Amino acid sequence: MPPTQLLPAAVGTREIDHYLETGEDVPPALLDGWVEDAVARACALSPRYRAYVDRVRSLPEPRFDAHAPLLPSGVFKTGSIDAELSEGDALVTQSSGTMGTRSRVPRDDLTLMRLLAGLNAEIRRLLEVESLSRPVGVLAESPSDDEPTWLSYLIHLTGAAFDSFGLLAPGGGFDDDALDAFLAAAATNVGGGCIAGPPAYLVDLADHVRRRRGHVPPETFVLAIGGWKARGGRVYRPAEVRSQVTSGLGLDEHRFRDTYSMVEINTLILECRALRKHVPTWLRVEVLDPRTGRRAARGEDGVLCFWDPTAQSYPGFVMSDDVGVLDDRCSCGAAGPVVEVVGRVNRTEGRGCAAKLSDGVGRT
Amino acid sequence: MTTIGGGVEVWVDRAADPCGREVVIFGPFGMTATDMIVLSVVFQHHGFDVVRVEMGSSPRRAGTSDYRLSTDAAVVRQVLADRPAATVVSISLASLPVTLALGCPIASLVMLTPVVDLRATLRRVTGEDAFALDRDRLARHRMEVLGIQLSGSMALDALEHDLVTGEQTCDRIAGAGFRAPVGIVSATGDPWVAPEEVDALAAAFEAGGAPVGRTGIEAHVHQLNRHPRAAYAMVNALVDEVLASVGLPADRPRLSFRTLLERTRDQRSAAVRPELAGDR
Repeated sequence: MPPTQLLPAAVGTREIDHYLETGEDVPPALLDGWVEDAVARACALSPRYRAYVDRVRSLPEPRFDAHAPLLPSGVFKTGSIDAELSEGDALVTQSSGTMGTRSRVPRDDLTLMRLLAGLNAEIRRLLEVESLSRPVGVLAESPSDDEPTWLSYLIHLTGAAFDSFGLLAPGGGFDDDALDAFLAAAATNVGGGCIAGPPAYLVDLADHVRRRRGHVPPETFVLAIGGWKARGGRVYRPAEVRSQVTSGLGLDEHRFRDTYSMVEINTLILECRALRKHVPTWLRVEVLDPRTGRRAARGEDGVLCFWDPTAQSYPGFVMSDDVGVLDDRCSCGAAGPVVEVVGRVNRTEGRGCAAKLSDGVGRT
Repeated sequence: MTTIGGGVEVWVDRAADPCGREVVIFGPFGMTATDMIVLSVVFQHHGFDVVRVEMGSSPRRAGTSDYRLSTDAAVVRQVLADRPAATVVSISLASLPVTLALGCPIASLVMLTPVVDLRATLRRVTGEDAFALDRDRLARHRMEVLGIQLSGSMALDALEHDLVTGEQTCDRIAGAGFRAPVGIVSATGDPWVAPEEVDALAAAFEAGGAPVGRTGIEAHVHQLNRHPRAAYAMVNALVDEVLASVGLPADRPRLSFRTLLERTRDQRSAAVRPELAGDR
């Protein structure tokens, strides 16, 4: 018998990676431990975050996030986090800057691997497809290798993992040759295809396909990735986009799945077949009542806060700029709370809330 | 099998800094030749020209439900007929059609997560023992494997070619007289292929006269596309086994995962037309 050279699979916290890769539901107690580990790692990486944690934990009135202090998303825009963490070969990803300034978040190899593993697991769990070997029509400009925007990187990540066709022409509009090649590939693929892009592009593509009388296989999925703002400040309504896109492409409405993410978390949240966004069981989410600074009751809206322990190279604990509500029940039966995003934080109130939470950061 | 004028469609990726060697990749069940770009990128980085082959179980195939191992073996023979100096890389189930084609000229052979005992692996994947059925019922039996519906023709074909049990596979290998260097990369906790099956495979190659190198990755995986961390480790180990099998040093730095993703994305978006193999 020839001897076998034994090698470890990789560095990292094996337990979390096991759950990400198998897609098994994470018991809440386990998640608590991972968040705790992630806080300790972030403190070791970032003296500023460590000082912030110490300050939060020494407040006379205990804050609801004292176990793992949240960073307001604005902190990632100041450069103070990534400047400390971006040593080595980490990929710095940026927000799109629609609010005027860009967040910068460094991601190392393990963080990227976990992003991809989690994306795979959630696509299996919520899209309920076994094989993802299908052509993907990508509606985003190629991300720059140097500090790409998160939206573009996420969309192209699906393209890097699967068989991608860039559907945007370099000078604007759609690349009809690529579109025809994508539709031909999807037509002969057992599971159809997948189209990924921001809502505004999806609406335009559906219209374009309908005018060209293109055929999209009925098994095809559409993933809306990105914000609902479009040209000229127009804001699309999700139901309107779902209807326009699916009717234009000739698909059932449940083939259109919206997603939610932000550059500061390392997870893409997908809709299930009941068209509701399920938080993966490895991501902790809470709703903060901005008036009291306390956790909101289930079913009440407030500021969405995330603790993402899959982030290895930065503290993935963020208070977002989004207002949302959580629900523990969904007709699809999948685990994990359902999150509904109902709006953006009122800037005045939001900044006040963020300022309250970031008090410690500013003084360290 | 897609044939044009009697040939097989293959995709050829040329290394920017070639080492003068060629790798032919026969991919796993249910995946396309395009899905193999990520592997090709790593081999290109190490100087190999890479040939990617669309196997019969590719979801691009209209006739996937009638998939047969022997048809894939014919593809392997056709592709290798033009490439006697190539190193063959087989992934997962592709190990079985490659086993049927061991009489082809092959410079070296490296198997990644090889399937050895078809009956046992199918039972673990589907939860049913299709080969317990008699031949008539097997002919009518349909099963779903990784989202692909298969008719009974695959099972009947495996029976016909004595590729059902691990013992049959290993007997065929040991008797093939295959003496080129062999490498095997597997996960120690593969849920679909037991470690003793891989041990038997390695022993069979040795019994037939081939030198065998083995690397075991400590992971509980089989489907590498679901497990980026383990996949990255296994792909790097695969490259090391290929380099060792052709006597080349592992002297180029490894690609980071980030760079691998970026190069894969770039190569996927570059339209490469297939070439034809086996029609010369």
